[in-house]
Amino acid sequence: MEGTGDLPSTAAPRGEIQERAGASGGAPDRSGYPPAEQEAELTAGTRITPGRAYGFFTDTTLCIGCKACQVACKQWNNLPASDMRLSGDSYDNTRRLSATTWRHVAFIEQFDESRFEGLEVPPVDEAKLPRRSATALGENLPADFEPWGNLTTSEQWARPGQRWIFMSDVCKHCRDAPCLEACPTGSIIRTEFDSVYVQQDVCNGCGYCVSACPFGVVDVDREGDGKAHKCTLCYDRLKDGMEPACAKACPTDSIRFGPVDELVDLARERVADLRARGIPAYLYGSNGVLEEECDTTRLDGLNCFFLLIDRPEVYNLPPVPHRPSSETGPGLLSVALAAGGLVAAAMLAFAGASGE
Amino acid sequence: MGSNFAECHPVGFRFVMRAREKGAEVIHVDPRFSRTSACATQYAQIRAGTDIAFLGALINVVLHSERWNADPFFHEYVSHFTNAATLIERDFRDVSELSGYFSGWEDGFYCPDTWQYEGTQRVVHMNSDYEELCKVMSSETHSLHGGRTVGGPPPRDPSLRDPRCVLRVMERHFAAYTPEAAAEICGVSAEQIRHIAETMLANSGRDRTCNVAYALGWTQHTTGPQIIATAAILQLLLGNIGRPGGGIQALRGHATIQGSTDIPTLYDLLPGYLHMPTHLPTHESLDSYVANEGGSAGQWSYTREYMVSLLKAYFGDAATPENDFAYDYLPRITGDHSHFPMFVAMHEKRMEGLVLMGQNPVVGGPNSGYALDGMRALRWLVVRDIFPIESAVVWREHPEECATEVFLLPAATVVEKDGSFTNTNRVVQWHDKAVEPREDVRSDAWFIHHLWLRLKGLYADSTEARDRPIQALTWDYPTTGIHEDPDVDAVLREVNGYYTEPGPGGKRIQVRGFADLAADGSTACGCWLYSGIHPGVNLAEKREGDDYIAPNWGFSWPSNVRLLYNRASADSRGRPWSERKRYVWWDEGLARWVGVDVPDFPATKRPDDPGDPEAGGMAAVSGDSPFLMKPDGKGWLFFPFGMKDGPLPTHYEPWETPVRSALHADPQRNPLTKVWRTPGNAYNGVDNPKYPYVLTTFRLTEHHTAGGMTRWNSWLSELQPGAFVEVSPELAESLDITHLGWVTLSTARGEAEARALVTRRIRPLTVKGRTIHQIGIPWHFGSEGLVVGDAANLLASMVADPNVSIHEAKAFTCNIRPGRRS
Amino acid sequence: MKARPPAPPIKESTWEWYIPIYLWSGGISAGAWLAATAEDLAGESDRELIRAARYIAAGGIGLGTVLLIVDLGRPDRFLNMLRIVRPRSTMSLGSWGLTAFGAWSGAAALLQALDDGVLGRRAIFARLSRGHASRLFHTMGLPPALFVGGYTGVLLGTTNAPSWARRVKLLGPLFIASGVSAGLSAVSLALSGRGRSTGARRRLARAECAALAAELGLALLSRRSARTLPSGRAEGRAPRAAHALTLGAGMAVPLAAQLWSSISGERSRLTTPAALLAMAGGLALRFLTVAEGKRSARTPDDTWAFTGGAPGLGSAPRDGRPALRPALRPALRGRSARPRIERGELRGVITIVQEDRIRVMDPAGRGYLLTVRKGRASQRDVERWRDERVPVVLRYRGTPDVHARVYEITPLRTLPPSTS
Repeated sequence: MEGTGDLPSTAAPRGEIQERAGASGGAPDRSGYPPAEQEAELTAGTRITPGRAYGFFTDTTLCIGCKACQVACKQWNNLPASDMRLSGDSYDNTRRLSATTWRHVAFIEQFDESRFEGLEVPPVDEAKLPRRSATALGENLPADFEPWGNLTTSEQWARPGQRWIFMSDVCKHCRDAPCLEACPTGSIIRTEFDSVYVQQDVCNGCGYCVSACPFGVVDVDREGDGKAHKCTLCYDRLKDGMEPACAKACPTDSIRFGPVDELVDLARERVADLRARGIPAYLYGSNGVLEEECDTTRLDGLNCFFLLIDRPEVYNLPPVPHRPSSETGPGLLSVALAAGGLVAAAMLAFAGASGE
Repeated sequence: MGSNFAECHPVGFRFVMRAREKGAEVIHVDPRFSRTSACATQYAQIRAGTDIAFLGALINVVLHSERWNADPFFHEYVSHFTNAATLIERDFRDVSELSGYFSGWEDGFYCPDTWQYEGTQRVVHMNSDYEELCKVMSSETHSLHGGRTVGGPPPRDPSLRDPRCVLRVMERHFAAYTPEAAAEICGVSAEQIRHIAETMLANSGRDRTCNVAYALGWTQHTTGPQIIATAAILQLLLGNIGRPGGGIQALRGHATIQGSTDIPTLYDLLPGYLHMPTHLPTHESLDSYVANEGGSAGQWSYTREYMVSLLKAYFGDAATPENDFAYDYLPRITGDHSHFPMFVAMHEKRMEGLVLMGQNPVVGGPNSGYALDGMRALRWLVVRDIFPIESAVVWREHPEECATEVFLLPAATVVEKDGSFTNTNRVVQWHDKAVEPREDVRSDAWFIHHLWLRLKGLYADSTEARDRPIQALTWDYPTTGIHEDPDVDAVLREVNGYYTEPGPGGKRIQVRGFADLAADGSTACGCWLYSGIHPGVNLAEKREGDDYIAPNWGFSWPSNVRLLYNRASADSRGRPWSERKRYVWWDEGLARWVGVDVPDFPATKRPDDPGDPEAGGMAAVSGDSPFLMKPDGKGWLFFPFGMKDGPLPTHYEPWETPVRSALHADPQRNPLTKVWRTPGNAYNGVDNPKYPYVLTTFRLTEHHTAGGMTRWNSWLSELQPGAFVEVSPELAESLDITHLGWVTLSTARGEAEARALVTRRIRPLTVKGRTIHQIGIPWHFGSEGLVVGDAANLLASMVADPNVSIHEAKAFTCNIRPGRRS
Repeated sequence: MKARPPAPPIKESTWEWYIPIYLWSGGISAGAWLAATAEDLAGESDRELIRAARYIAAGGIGLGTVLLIVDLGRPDRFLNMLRIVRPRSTMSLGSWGLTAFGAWSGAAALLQALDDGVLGRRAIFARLSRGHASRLFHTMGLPPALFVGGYTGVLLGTTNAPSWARRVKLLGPLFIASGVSAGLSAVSLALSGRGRSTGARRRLARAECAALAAELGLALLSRRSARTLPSGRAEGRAPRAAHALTLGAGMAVPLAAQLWSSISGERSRLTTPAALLAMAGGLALRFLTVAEGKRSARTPDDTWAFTGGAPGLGSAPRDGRPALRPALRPALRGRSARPRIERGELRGVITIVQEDRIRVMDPAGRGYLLTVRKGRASQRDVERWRDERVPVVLRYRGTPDVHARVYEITPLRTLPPSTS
């Protein structure tokens, strides 16, 4: 069944998978499978091979907001807890990614006055509608697409005006990563798994990557070690053939880990299925694939992409993320011109006026 | 319904999500729009504590629907597998006829004579009279399991036309529960009730099944067991019990709480749901115990085998046929010793000491203020926990006034000990020790083991007769590891059961299952229900999963049956109801029941076996009677006995409610509700203007129960860093409560303050033209730990349902005002 | 305690107060170097002016470098900046430019010092530091100098702070212009109070006019573009006043003063205060610009406006009353969520027959459960259609899977009459 929870049975017969997965919880020596076999094959159904691009496919329609990913991330990476304040922002007391929070589950309450009373959706208020949304999805959808047309279940969970959306946010590991391009020390590199990684022994905390990131992901730990931190796609785990902690912890497989090309195919099927059910799903960050509401091609797509059912802004994602480095050349050119002008002016000024 | 599946069982909810993505309807009925509602395909907001009215309406719609009456499937299932056809005593009267009471009400208790099947009678071997017994029973302990019923077999009317057959009696009972009437009570629109009923009906039948999942949202009511009974009736009517994808899923509240009722930590149960003997004459000897507890037919007719084997396991050689297998060594129940009476006893200085192991009553116990005072009145208190929980620092306030001597013993966490978990599906899964506990930290098993050895030492040379049980109790577990932990594998072997006659080389021979247990003392078994879990090899350790029922993953009682009563997955003639729902069926060639699961039925009993009532035991039940725990082997749409507060579920308002129900003027509330009218436990009453709002407690994914394991963990604490209450914008507006501002909730018991989380997930309900505001409050928080807050249970009251003494924390009333607690 | 404002989708720059000062002092050294060069090439190689300019240039760079290092999260690792050259990273280029010009102006200052006789008077020093050698030296230092003066604007521009990014082509020229004006002012200040080289001061004044004019013009343009963003429109009174003051007192007034003094040719009392104002204006401009960028990054609507989004859609609910956010399409939202009694037509093959209930699979492979009303088709026919997989067209009322009734069902292929 598309997109959802089953352990792909590519690695071994299911019985084995379960047995070993069950056993592999403990220390490696009692994990019961030969070292040649990777844990990722059992838990994510994929073999991790350097040179291939890996990432996450986060399907927000399967997220139940349990925050297991967030805790698993902090535990594996041994990150400190942030401030213990009730934010009042639904059940989201973390609110954003930071130097010490690399996974963050957003809670978006969308309830109108009447709410779920009799499962009614309120009349549309044209004035409130954003400019793009009126057409954007329409243009790119198959002609026969009929929202809520052929529902076979009530799909309350997906209905505007009476739904509570959860979304597990993470570093997108952009293909053309602005943070990497901005880094003057070369501490941010692209790994053999095509993930974007901050080398802690090189970073000098200049903070330029922070203002370069279009998603507000990477941050400098000013209180702590003064260096930039963000999701490493569990580089250390990948090295040992284990899938990232968050993906492994996700109970509903809302977070899927794997080779990006395979994930995109998976996501395609998932979107098709949801649309057949009348739910206007689309992908964010799949480099043009089914991206009705957004355009991430400036970043050449994201290795960690999302399936969304509302506009990107609702999930705090920029519809068309900007790639600053594309402006470096033009910017400096304008400087050169201005400089030329000023030099000329100065020469004239100095030439024209002698003493006495 | 009554569960917050996604938040409290996120891992299990994986399968619900998978089903939803396969096109299943997921319906959530709850007072609060929780994370579970957010994942559901349909959501209905219900007034807390009106579940029976809601379910009753579903039953009403189903019974009158065209499909249910037309589709032969339902008629076959109901007439064969339930007691729908059985006739009831002539002089039974329904609540509708006697304004809120069933026949047999003798102010204060029910005498269930008139609830019996026609021509049958409960015979109780005792010298005091039956009414006396009923009175004592209803006021103090549990009711009877079986009890010998003489007369019968009761007349049945397979056509289901007879006005006195169970189906008709029940139909009349639920006639009052029209969707419109229910809407008046629940605040859910009648059309939505209809829609949900139709959805369930459409998804039941030969090819489809529905499952009902509930949790503490149903149990924590003064009508808790009756709510579950209503769901059982609905599921039986829809033919959803004993079939794959059907059933009623009890989502338990803690890790292995299922295990702690199977091998109970409850005062009135022995392992395997055998009742603890009482001081009543009904239990004076093993014979009278068996006569009254054991049914005349079905599983419970082997009560003697189970009891004797248990006594042999307890007292070994000291248990002989001559001394009734040391039956008299068992303590007797003299009254209600459930949670609340203990704390009353502390207040009254009748109880001097308390040992808490992994429990935190100061946060988790209703009316926790009362609990705290009670514990401060103790002479000594032992707390075993992994953190200094609230209950361990009862002396913290005014130490000078607290004479209690408190011992806090550090307990080992799950990774520091071997043991087993029994999950919601009755699957026992073994877990191994990963690391040795450090310093003084020890496992609970270690504590009990060594405590008992020392106790035995103290009584070793006593000659007092009353000390015999202590001396006689066998305690021969080998110890392992640097801390001398008892070998829990040996305990599991004893639980499985063995032949008392040692085999070659003095080696114990394990029994294969409870069928092997004998009444002559030749077998010993710690818990008949778990028998078969360790026939030489520990089956709970098995880890062979598959994508369906995974029979080789762990062990599920009884006898590794994954789906209880699964004989019902085949029709009356033993054929699968449909290809899609093929599960267990009769194979004529092999002349036995076969299928993907272990048949929960005598393997070779033909489906057309009429059953021989005289024979008793399994022989007595017919081939189309899947429900072997009942003497008649039928699913009960009407309960002749077992429930103290009525043979049919009827809607009573919660003990504290702002609304008067229209169903029956009096009694408004369950007449058998257990109340404790002691100082410090006042009640808000019905429709009390001082406490106009409905309050319901709930849990968050981020914290676990009373927080003992989570509020000291920074990674979890940061995710829910403080107590809050969920209020609707409408209520907030009317009381000028500001978002994240302080509010104080108050009940007759006390006050609790928290931040207000103003959210549209809560919606005011309209009940009988009146606006009812509901408030939700998570109960995890306490005064200790990284994140603190007032315990919600400061507000709850000590009130309990008559059948299992569970409190009512999911529906009571309160007042709320902006500002901090005074 | 109110709910915190919506979490911004991007993070604001981590730079502290050191950075605006560096942006300024870097500009000053560029301007000073330009003064020295111009004087050497076009002017009369006034030694006073050149000495002052060389010292100021070196000083400015020195100060800037120190401030940059202090602002690092790990100052001890500042040399890592020189591990690599990354053409796409403005900061990487800047670090190298800074290094180059730092070395160059340092050398210049050293020569000047020798010329001034720190190691005693020697003819060789004078020859090295003056004449052709000096002209060549200044000219070659010009490109790195101007780069350092101007790249800082691009440095701000090549980020995701909308207010900066939108002005990426404007900030560079603006910063270099204001750098030059401040640099010239610094030199003329250094010269003030000395009787001689009035000619030099007039030359400076004339150049200053040009620089200030450019600065003022660009500043006005930059203002206008900043105001096109929500954060700019919603700007408070204080920042607006600060900007006005900077434009007026920091640019317009000194411009007027310098014009007057360069036209009148008189040695004006205005030049010194004008120079001070111009320098202060340059400093203020940088502080204000940095503040704008940070505020813009804190304003979600800026990001939405900048990245083609719609305003007012941030994910965080305001004061607990989350507004209904518009859904993907208006079409989605008019519809009733409750499966209403509706009519529908379906074609497909029957896969399951269960008494009066059938399951129909449409060509897309999706199954529908329906109830066939009595008398619409005999069960035997339906079962045969199922067995033969005959495609059927059916009309129903209600919602499939819940309570849909088929009131018309016709096979698209007729079967031979069944023999039974």
